[in-house]
Amino acid sequence: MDQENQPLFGLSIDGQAASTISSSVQWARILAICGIVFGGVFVLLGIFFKTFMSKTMSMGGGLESDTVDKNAALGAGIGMVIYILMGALAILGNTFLLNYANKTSRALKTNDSAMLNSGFAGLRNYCAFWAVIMILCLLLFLLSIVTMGLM
Amino acid sequence: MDTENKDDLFSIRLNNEGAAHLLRFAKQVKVFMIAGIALTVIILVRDLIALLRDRPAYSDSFFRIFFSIYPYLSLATAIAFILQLIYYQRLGKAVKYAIEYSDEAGFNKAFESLVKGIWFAFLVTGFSFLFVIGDLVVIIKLWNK
Repeated sequence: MDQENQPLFGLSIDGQAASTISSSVQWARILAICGIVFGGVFVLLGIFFKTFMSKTMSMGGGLESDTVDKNAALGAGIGMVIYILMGALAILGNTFLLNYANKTSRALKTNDSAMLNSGFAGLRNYCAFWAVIMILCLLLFLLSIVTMGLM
Repeated sequence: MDTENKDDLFSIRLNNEGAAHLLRFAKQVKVFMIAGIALTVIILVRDLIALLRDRPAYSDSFFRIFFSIYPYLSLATAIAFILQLIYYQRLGKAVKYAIEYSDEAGFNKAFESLVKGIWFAFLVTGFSFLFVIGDLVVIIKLWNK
């Protein structure tokens, strides 16, 4: 870290800001826990989705030919992968937010600047994670548009 | 918060490492915002085209209700998500300014935007959950037909 950054030591967190950060920590923790539960539900839905589809297919499910059966199996497989992937991403992304909440909360309680840094690192990771996911989604959309245009 | 606690909090200071994390956050939040808004607009346009193109009359009451509220839910999610990104970006901007100009008051005020951003993130999570459940019911109903 260069010397230019030294004046940063002058930035302290006052009582009002600590209370605001504390409030953000509480909300962030609830959001992260909801997000992780949400991610877990997604993963379960993915598993349920695959099981449900497999059962329906094994019972016949009104499907008439092997081709339809194969396509359905492929669709169920893709559905399962999408749900599980979305769940895993939600869990991972919200873990960063939970990190921010836990570390910042501890830092405020113990006046630990190092812990506060770790908390801010968690917030940065959360933001970076979702930025990357957004970019990947955009690329996938563009890819699907290009593919549809070529077909 | 009690007075004793309040006094203790004054001793927390942002050091170089913390400032570096926040400055990187400010940079990344810009990318998050641009990509997020672009993605939201694309999804909204896609949904709108799909809605205008095919408007089947559903016999199933769940389908009727779900597809009639779908555009409003989609729009509400998009608005909440964009507001979430705006507040995160405000936090990034305020923190960057405060660090560059050693503006302690601005630094302390910046975190209000984070709280608001998180509130909107809650809305987005709630709406997304409704979408997923609705989609799942639609898939199951279609499969059983």
